[in-house]
Amino acid sequence: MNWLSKLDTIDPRWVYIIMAVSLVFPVLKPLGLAITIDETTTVPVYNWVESLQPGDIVVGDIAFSGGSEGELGPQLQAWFRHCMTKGVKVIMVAQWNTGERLGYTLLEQTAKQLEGEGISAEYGVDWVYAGYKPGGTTLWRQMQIDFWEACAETDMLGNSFQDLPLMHRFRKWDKESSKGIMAFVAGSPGLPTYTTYFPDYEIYVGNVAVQVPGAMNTLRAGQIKGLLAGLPGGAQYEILLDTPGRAVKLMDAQSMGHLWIMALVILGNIGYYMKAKSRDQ
Amino acid sequence: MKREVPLVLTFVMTLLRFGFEMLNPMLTYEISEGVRLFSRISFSVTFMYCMGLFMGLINLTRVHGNTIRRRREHWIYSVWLLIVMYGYAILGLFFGGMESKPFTWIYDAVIVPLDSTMFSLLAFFIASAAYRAFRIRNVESVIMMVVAFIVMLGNVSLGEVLWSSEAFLGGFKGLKDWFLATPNAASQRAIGIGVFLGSYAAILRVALGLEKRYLGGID
Repeated sequence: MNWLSKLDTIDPRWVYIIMAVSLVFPVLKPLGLAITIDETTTVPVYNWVESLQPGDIVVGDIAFSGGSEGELGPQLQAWFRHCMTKGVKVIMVAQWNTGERLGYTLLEQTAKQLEGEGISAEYGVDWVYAGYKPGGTTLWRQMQIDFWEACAETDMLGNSFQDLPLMHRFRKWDKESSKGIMAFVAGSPGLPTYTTYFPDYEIYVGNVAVQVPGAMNTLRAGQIKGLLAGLPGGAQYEILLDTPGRAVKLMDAQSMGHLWIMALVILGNIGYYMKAKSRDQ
Repeated sequence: MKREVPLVLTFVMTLLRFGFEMLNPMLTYEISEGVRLFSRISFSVTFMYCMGLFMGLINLTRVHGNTIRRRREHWIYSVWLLIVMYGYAILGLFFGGMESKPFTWIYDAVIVPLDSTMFSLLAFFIASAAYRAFRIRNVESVIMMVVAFIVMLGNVSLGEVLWSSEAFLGGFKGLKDWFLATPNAASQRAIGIGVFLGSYAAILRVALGLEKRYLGGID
């Protein structure tokens, strides 16, 4: 039993090495574990985009930065791909200045891929990136009254809204001009901006896994209509679109990481129990 | 006067902001044709954000400037901080901004990967912390561990392999969904209501001048 009590003091280097292998190995050699589509969280987001008509405008929000890109990047790209494929126009804003450029890069990558596949994703016509505008929630409130004025009539790249055909259909951000909001959020400011200042709008959320429990009550209450929950949300969306990508690839790694954490908890407790038992004897 | 002026300003601004949210005629009130009062106020907030940025810049320069001048411990990091801060700002302001290749390259190739790396380290910290700190000493910790395992397995493909969502009780996923949608949502609501009631009370105290600590130590 002596060796069992040693489980209480595993060298941290082994903990880290095995965690690294658990995460890297499935990425290099995918295990192909099944991914189940969540009917209450992911499917409503997919159905919402499916229900939109070509030419309808939706607004997306980048409220995350590089730290959450692994989870929210694939969600954003899958959702954007879906919108472009359906002919839905997208206008993006960014509540986080640290993620503003990142969001643009991700969308630009997807737009280039789509153009290569013969799907229209022309900047200014099919999508516009208004970007980050300082002023917090007060400015977001102002966007509802006069989007152009609130954004100083320029997008992130400094293009005038006058030169972007899509913006001529979007003078103010109201329920008539936008058919819903898709916010990709990783913290504050994030979802409360919309549940507080846009309560009558169709709100959908892409959230990091760690914040999903905090958003579940808003989903249950109907304040938000759908929720992409962390990496699984992105993977499920990719499967629904029949274009498995980065999120699907990373799901096996997440499974192995979780498995190792559970194994560590069990091993640690066996060691603790055996040590306490031998001490009592 | 040092106290009275900020107190009056706080009260007036609180009333104004409250009015904009609660009274539609106030929200749509125009100070001149096509110019809404709310629009002007919202731009004043934008201006304050920008001023806050400058204040931060000045403050960081002073603090780290002092560290460098007095050769305090790790002063070399302060030099690096000032070089990066001013260097990147100058690059963005005077060398093409968002369209500039070096500016976007630093963001894409340095800032984003560093940010991702910092966040990714959490996986290792959590593994280490779970191993060292999660000890089953009582019934509550057993419940916590069981629920944690169910939620973890319900979130990943492995859980589906071990106990399918088409099986009894919806498998790990079914149980995870119930935990998130029922006990978790209920407790989140309770916490949320508590936090908001507390916030209202705190705001009311500030608005009515009962809470004065934000004014600092002036007489």
